[in-house]
Amino acid sequence: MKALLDTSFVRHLISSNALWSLPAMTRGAGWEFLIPQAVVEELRRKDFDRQIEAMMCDGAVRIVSCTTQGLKLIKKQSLGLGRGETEALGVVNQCADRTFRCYVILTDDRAAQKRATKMGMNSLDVVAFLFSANQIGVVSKRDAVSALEKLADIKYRVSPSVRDDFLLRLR
Amino acid sequence: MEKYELARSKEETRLYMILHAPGDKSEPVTGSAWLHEMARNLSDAGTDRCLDAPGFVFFSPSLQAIVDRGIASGMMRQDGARGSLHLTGDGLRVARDLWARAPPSERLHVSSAKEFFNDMTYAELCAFARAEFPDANPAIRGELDSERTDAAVSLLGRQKVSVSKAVAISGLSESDFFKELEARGVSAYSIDKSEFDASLARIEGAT
Repeated sequence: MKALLDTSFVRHLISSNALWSLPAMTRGAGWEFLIPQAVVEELRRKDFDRQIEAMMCDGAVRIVSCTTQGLKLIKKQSLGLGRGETEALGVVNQCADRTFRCYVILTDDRAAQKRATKMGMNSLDVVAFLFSANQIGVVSKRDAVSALEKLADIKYRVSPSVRDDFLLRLR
Repeated sequence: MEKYELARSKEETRLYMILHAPGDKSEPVTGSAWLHEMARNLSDAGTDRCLDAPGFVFFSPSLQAIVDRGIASGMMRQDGARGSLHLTGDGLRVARDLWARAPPSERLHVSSAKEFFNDMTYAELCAFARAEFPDANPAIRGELDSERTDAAVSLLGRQKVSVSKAVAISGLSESDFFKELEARGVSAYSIDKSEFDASLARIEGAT
């Protein structure tokens, strides 16, 4: 699975002290993480240079870019999205396999998820990512619960029914 | 008619397609400002455009000339001077033909732009345009500024724009925009049960 990282998702992983889950997913589940150049630039503007360097040092994440032509095309289908989200969609859209089966876009932005779904692409938010990582044995129950609590601290609103289901089904 | 079709420019073709989109049935365009904003987002750079009279959104004199000609020739009609634009029966026949001949990617882009802009309010449309080109319309002063945050919150709530775009539309800093959302009881990021289940279903289907 090739996973495209969006700014919102990376920021939430950083806030929940769960950035380590990326290399863990690579080791444990063979996921390959790709970060669009525009997302790197957005994160640098928010002073996340240290975290970006850490992701690169681990070898867990590789920087990718969408071609100029690809960006031009995707922009017309992704009105209302920022540069990072647009480039993530653009990178996936360059894939020859039009089922986009090998890709998932990791974003917490609802508009980006909606657009991805409309284009036939998979997307995953940070809560579902942590849950999936737990289900395949990459993230422990304790770490997943801790990350969920930290997300709540930064005003990421997790509905009570999601929280209950999340806690009940963690392994 | 044949000569007229041969002479049809890319801009004119696009106008008929916008009016015909989403393709299965022809939906009117909400108004002149909406039409010009759709066309601007669909065109590549370099076409002529200037600010409309209030200075809120972009306006293309060449596109307006085509619209005026379409109305004069009975292919289109408009409610009021700048109101909703419709195809007439004759216009619809031309539009159907152009739509059928257009590449699927063009049909998709036109439909996406129409869906995106057509249900916006005028304030949302102006705020969106201003965020795209923050320095391009200096004529705007406080009149629009007071509505930018409302527009940004509304567009974000309807999942039409991303959080980063909503911040840009509001004209506020990210932290101030988040404070504004909190004051209105809105979360920039949230997940409910149906979204969680849908996410898991997507990933289970993909792995």
